[in-house]
Amino acid sequence: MKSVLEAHNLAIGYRKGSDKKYKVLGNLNLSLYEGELVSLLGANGTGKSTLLRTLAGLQPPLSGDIIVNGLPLSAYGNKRLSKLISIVSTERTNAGGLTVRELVGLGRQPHTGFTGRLGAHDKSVVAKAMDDVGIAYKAEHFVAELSDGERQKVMVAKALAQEAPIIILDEPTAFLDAANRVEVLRLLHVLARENGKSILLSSHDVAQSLALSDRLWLLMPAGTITEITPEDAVLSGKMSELFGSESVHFDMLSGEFLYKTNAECGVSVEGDDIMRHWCGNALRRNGFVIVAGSGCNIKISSPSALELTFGGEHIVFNSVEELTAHLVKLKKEGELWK
Amino acid sequence: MAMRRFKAVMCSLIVAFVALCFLLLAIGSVDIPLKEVLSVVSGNMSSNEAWNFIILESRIPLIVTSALAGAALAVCGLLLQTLFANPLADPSILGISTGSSLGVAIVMLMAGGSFGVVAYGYFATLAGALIGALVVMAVLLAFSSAVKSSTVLLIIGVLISYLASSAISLLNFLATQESVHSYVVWGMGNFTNVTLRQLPVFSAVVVVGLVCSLLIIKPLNALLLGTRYAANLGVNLRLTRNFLLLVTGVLTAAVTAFCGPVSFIGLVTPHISRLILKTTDHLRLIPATMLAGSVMAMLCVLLSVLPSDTGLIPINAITPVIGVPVIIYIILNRRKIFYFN
Repeated sequence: MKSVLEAHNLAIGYRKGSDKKYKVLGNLNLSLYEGELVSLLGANGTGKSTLLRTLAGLQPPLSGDIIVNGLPLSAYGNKRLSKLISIVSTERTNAGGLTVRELVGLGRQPHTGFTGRLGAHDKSVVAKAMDDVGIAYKAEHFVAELSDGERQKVMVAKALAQEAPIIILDEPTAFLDAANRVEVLRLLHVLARENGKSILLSSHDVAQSLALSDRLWLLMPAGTITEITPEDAVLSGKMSELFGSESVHFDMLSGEFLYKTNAECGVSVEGDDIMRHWCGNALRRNGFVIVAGSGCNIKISSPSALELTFGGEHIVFNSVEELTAHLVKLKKEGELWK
Repeated sequence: MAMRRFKAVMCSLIVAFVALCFLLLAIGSVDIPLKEVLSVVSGNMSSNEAWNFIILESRIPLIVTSALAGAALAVCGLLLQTLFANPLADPSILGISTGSSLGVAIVMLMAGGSFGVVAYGYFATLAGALIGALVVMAVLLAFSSAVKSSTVLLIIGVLISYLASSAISLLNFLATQESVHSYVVWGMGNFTNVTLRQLPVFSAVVVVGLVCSLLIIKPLNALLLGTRYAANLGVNLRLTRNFLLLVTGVLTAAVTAFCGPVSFIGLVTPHISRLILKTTDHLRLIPATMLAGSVMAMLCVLLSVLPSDTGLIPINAITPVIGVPVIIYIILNRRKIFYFN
């Protein structure tokens, strides 16, 4: 695989004055390959945005090298770099008075002439970019009229219209609803797979990133970045260390971060996968832990027949709600887990 | 669709522009028959020497000056509003006009001359205005690298403006009564100061400035997305910003030196242009804003010459009357106006 973007001994952060430096992250060695989608995961305030900005050439590194297509990033002018890397950032824009088509058209600026006028080819690239993200039906609307999620899609379309082989996105799904989040990530995944684009994005959507990323860059609490495939990250236990939090743990089965509960309140659940999952969901929320083979067992035969076996007693409940209420009551009274 | 609207707006503005040219030729403190006016303009001198003089030495320079000054101020407002991503930015609010005024005050009050006096000449006034404008620009630029918020920068501009005003007050206090009077009259705004002899210099500076503003249409559009997106689209931010500030500095200085610190045209005209064009695309916005600025300034001049028996009303007594209602309308309706958010 050919690497398109590399960092060698990179230190990122901010300069204050001529010699004062405020280092955010240091000693980073990273590579982004052609045709892959990489998700950068990490806690808030650890430097994800700073890293993405630095790699996109929008902020100078404190030290170390960034290599784009075999050449140092600093060797490219703004103009040449704009044809290689396109970005989607969380920056507030002032473009409410442009139509969607005009804004996506700004993505053609690296390819257009002095006045920025779009030719026939540019126009077709813009139209295709709008089609790809599914915003074409709003092409003639003002950006000011759009919802946050639609604006985000427009910015992604702008990045596509730029036709750069590397796309760097800072939380591209932050404002999107569940369906749009999946759609945008799926689109980026397809772009990586079928068009050979290299895509680097930061995200807080762990489940989606695990599902659609070829690799993860895990920004660990210690300030190091681990490059790893999603599956290895889960199975090696790296995911659990990601947030360095005492109260949250990574649930390997669901691929989500869950609140740690008092391990003494163990309940075992039998039944088909879906019913087990959602019954477990309610129990976990109410402070129980799902374990295998507890003295407190729930056997689910249908959503309206949940049988609780506890201390020799058998009670059948008609809904998860009733079952949960009963268990919570027992727990409060101290009947369970003395 | 959008192009058709642009053409319609440009045609309407051109019609208004031509109509105002005729009105300003025909109307003035001296009644000259329209037929005589037209024949003088077309090159056939009238037998009335005074009429010839009024038309050639007063009315034509007035029309050219107001048209160019209006276009210059309006474009300055537009460029600054885009650069600072703030709808209230304009040369006077950011303190650039006041900086120019201070430069002019130093020349006029310290040197003891009055505007147009040959000993110092309008070049000295122009240089004073330019240095004043550029100093304020430089201060704003220095702050802009430290201050991220454009609103804070705008407030700094207002504060600089107060500082410059206090220096102007001090200069007024120390100066002779005569020069204070000529400075106060200059400060009220006046498009009649440019004589036929000075007109080529004024026109050349303004036209060059206006043409320069056309050179940065593409980066201006990219700047609508914010500085990071603009940089990622290949815009050289430092070059664009410095060029833009130099162009606005020169235009503001030229207008301020010759016409006084004219308020509100720079603030209001870009908004009117966006509202009637229904776009913030600078390719269409800049030409329309220039033309609208000319029309605005000429309209103000027309209002200032209408009560012919009292002489000219100061321009700065008229511009707020037109400008303030528009700004209040925009502030009150900002949630409904398409180009906000």
